[in-house]
Amino acid sequence: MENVILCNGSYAENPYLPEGENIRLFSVEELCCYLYKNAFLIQEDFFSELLLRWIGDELRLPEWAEKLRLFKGKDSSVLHSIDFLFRATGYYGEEEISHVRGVLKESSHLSVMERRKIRADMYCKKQRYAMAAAEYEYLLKETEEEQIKFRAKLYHNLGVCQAGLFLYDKAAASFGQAFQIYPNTESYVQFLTALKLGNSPEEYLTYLSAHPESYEDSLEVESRITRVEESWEKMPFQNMLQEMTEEGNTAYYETVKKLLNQAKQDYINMVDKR
Amino acid sequence: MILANDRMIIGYDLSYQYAQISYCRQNGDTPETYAMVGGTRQYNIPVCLFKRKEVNQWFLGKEAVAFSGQEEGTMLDGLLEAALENEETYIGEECFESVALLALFVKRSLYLPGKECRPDKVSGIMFTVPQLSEKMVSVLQKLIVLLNLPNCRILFQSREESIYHYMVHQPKELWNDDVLLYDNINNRMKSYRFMKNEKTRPVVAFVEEADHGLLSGDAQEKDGQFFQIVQSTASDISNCVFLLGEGFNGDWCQESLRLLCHNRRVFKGNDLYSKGACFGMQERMNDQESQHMIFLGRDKLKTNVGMEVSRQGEDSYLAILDGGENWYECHKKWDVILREGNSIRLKLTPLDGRNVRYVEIVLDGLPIREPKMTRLHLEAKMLNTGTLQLEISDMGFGDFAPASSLNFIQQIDIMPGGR
Repeated sequence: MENVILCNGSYAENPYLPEGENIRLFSVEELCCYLYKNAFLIQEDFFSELLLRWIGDELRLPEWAEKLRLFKGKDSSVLHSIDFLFRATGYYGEEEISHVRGVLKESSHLSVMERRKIRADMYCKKQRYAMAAAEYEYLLKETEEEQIKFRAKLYHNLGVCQAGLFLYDKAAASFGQAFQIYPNTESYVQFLTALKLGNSPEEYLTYLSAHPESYEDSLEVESRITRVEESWEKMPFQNMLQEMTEEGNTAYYETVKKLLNQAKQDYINMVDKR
Repeated sequence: MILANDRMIIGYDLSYQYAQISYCRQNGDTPETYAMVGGTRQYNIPVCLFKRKEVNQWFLGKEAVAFSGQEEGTMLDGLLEAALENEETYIGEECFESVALLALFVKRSLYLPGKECRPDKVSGIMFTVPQLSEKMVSVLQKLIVLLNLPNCRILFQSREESIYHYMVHQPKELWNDDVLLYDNINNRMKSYRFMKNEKTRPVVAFVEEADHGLLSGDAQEKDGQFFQIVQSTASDISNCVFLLGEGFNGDWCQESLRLLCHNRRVFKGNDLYSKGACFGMQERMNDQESQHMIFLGRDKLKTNVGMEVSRQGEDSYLAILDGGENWYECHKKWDVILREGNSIRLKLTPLDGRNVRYVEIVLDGLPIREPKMTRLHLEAKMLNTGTLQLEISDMGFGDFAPASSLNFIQQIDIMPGGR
């Protein structure tokens, strides 16, 4: 397969913004990429007349828009539409089409909110904390108060994202909410951890004194923090840096610079909302 | 008779000293040529302007020559040379760009053939010029803009190509074999040989030019010089010969003519280039380019330029520039996505199909992104017959991967045998 893929249609002057998203699409290849990455979210209403007109007018692919219109209202229209676009652009092949088929099958029974939570959890796992937090906040706004367990999970995961972004006060509040609406040990431990990391030792101790019921859970917090500190000390690069300083090796500074740059990039990815 | 409601095509022969204008209907037959005096063959329009003093009144051609002797004002000749040198002309304190003066001359001259050829009734103009250097192409491109004829398609071609179009519109018996044309303007003698290679499909036609320098001396001496030129160039021409240009007026070349006319047909003509331009434009307007014969002049690309790509999931060849096209008309824009890496590759195939080569262009500094998240915008154009300029812009991948501001420009020698 050639390394260069010929693009199809025009580059849009006016991008398409899928509903509820903050990502703009400028080409049919980007549309394919969006469909692949968010296949579990796609339902028939995604292929709206607005999208088809955009494909016809902005991307100057009127025949493709017509073809997609023929699929509407028919069985498996989403799969047929995605299959058509992937093959017509050549951006994705059989393997990806097969993957999407599997995802659509698995997610066919899920509600829109459940699908969006899956996406948010995916962002969170990949440490795209800002994007994940935005999703969880949207879901908390849109779900009903009666969905107690679901909302507790949302608050808890929101807390994880906020802690990942070093927003310990907010994280503590989110974990606290999760515990309040659906009491569970994990949310409370995380609440205490966020409280410890976001406050001075005196402030943390003051809280514990005022809440003696927290004693057992606070021990779990200390145990977890100790384990993290021990594993940090054992990281391979620690020995490497130690050796370098002992030998007076100038490569130490280069290595530190590389590690810092990587940490910077990781942080950028965490806070990026795209 | 030319119908008033038909769209017209113009063949415009523009040279340093004179212009000639031929015209025909877009779907019509033989072109006619504007004569300054009706019923004569005085086709040459002097390329000059005359501006009356202190009045915004301009005259061109024969009128300009006449007025310059009688009125106070400024005579401007050498318009094409001045445009090529990008000179500025001062009339009093007013400054004029040379190409603007040339455009004024050309636009006014379009009214000379009469109301049927008014610019608003013309659907196409083909300019033909003595040579298509990079400077000339640049002047003609500026001229087209200044003429400001939005409903008119304007192209240009070399004299050799005009000869080709003229010949193939003559009875075939005249050009079955090689044809020789002699062009004598102010004693400067050039010859053009029209030839075909019938071993190829399609048949390829060529026109080779030779410059024989200036004829000098009295009539007898010039006849002798021309006689020698004929001996050296026409010995293998058995069919027909054309004599072009006002330089062949008069009786100065009797001996040479006697030699030429021996077992050959000799035609005298004056408006071959402008008519050839007309025929060329007719073909382009009506998409009638021949499938059986093509013209391969020095302004044509001798190499096909392409790229191997994946198109709708299949490996495919993308034609970027085609051999046989005029270099100055070659321009293509397209977008691609890289699966990975930071380089692209062009495939150069000479017209004879031999010695195909690849040119790799490495885009140093291109951001490293996920696979298939780098979209590139490419623009290819020719700077001359042999040099391709490729401009590549990094577009990133929309909101998934922002574009860098990187822009790469590479010049590539595409001549067969080049590096």
